[in-house]
Amino acid sequence: MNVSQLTELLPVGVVLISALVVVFLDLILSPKERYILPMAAMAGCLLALGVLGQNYLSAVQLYKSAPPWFAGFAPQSAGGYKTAILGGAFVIDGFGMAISAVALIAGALSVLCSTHNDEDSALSKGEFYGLVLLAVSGMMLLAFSHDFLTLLISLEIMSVATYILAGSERDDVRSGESALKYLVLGAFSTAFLMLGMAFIYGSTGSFSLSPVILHSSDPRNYLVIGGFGLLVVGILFKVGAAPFHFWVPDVYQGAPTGVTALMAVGVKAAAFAMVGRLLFETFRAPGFREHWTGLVAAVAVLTMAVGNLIALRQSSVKRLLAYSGIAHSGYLLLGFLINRRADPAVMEESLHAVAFYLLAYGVMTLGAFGVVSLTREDGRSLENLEDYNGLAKEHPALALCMAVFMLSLAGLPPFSGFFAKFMIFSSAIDQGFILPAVLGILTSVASLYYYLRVVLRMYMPEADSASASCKYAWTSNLLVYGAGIGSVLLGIFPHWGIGMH
Amino acid sequence: MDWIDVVFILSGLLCLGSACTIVTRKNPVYSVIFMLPFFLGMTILFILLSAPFLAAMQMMVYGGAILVVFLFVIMLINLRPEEIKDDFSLWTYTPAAAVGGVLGGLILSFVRHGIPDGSELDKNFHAAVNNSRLMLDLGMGGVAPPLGSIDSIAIPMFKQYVVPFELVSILIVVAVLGAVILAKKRV
Repeated sequence: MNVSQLTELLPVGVVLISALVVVFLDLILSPKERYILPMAAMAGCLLALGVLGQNYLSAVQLYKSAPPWFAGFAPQSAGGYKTAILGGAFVIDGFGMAISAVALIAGALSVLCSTHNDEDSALSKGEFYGLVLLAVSGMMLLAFSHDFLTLLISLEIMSVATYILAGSERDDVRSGESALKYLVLGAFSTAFLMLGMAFIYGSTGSFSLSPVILHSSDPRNYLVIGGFGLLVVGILFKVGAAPFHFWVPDVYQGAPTGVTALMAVGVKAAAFAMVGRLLFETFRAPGFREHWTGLVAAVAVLTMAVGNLIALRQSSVKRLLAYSGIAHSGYLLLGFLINRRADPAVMEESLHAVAFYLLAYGVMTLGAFGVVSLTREDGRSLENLEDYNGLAKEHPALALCMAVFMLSLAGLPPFSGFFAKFMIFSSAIDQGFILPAVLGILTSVASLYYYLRVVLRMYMPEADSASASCKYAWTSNLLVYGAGIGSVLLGIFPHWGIGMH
Repeated sequence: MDWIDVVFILSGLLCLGSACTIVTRKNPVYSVIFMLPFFLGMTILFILLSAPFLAAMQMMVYGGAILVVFLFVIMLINLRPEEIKDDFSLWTYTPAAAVGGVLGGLILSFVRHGIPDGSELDKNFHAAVNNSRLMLDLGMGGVAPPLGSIDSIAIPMFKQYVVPFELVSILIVVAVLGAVILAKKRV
């Protein structure tokens, strides 16, 4: 074990240290100076993002022959960038870096989103921001982990922190309900995950996620197949895919809006990192691949259908965004469909598409939750669709941004959502999964109905808008406008987010 | 009969007897109190199996911590024996007994005959054990401690698996912060 390898994990270290700094800073600040705390938390995230970018650039210089962005599958001799560190507990590659970047952005923006609370609320305390940062560190560790033990522990760091954050608004009954539901169902899904890991360990004798552990075992080995099935159940729960999606709307609606944004973006990105590692790496051997491609296609179609159809009937914006998040999980799962040949270059491209989708989806979802957190009355977020009537008249810029997020989520051309969906659908069609891709396109056309409903309500000529700005609104404004500009820019210049192509 | 056999039979009887008492007591406080001799018997069994670490953990974690938590919960909800309804019905107990019996039979048969078709499992288990013993050999300079001793748990934990072990500390920080957020009194 080489300690100098720890520099590869320096971004995680920066996040952890800033979590502790924020917690202790709370002790020396007077209640009036608490506005510094979210700034410090966000600075920590941005600093970590900078360190991550620095690591990425030095990796690019080290492996000049091929762009290392997602070269996780090419062997190192062929210019692939994939470094196993700390005895194989973690692996540093482009995919992990991209997921950590999304997690850091989610952390920074959801901190901005939850600043406007009363001074005595638990949400304005140092512990709250500290926990947000710790959850982000869990997501980043999950994105890099390459071993069932570190995978499980990082998953728990992320999950336990988000269970607590979901219940941090102690005066609100729905926040408690959300935390309890998330805790019970999440613990249940973790139990499935652990049992699956135990089966695989029992059959292979190794904790590693590298496909080597399965080489000696028969694809019909019931222990490995059973373990894989249990793993898939646990992961699909975290992702919020269709048969395991029932917790999503209640948890998203009850949790404080900033925490909901963190869950919708960060937790989802980290969970898809797990999907990528397990499907595209551990279980990519031919005997196993046939088992899961059909399964993933079926779950993806079901998830897109369920998410989009139920979203049509929602009257609360938070629930609408929750169901839209379920539907987007379905689109993302389409990116993991590969054909029998399983060309490593094609798999790289698929992961590429998935990472870009997560970035684009993350930016627009964070922005949409930022708007939800801004439109509030008497300290409570306005979340009914009726509350948005005529928002454009009083807050034209805010309404414009919300319209951008909605159209981008629906996947209309000038915005980032279009390119994200385009890459996912075209990769599925290239791989011969025409029916799932067509169903995906059809459901995303249906989704236009409920996204446009929000836009129409905002631009209705009705002056009865009740949205009042709050004390620290400028942080949320910063978030909303930043995310709006980001969505447009990523749509016009998608190659910025894709990397070097 | 060796004295070890005598100790084994006595502690086994202690376990079985106290387990039956736990299940049949009406007052939950008595049930919890009778867990103490049960854990004591288990500890003796672990020592007989030359697993001193597990024995110590059994006493410290279960006998010390978990028992007290049980007692706290029972006293907090203040459950009186006369409030517990005793509606014995065959419908609830028959399936439970059937499932318990099947599982018990399976475990007994595994103990007697080994897991059916578990050759690969056995092989992998032995490979894993040999592998960890090899690592221990390297770490200890030639002499591997016997399986089940404290060394054979401590050395992998602090050498091979030190990264996950350290990561757990982050999890504990999360738990502490969570307790502060969720339970702290307003000032």
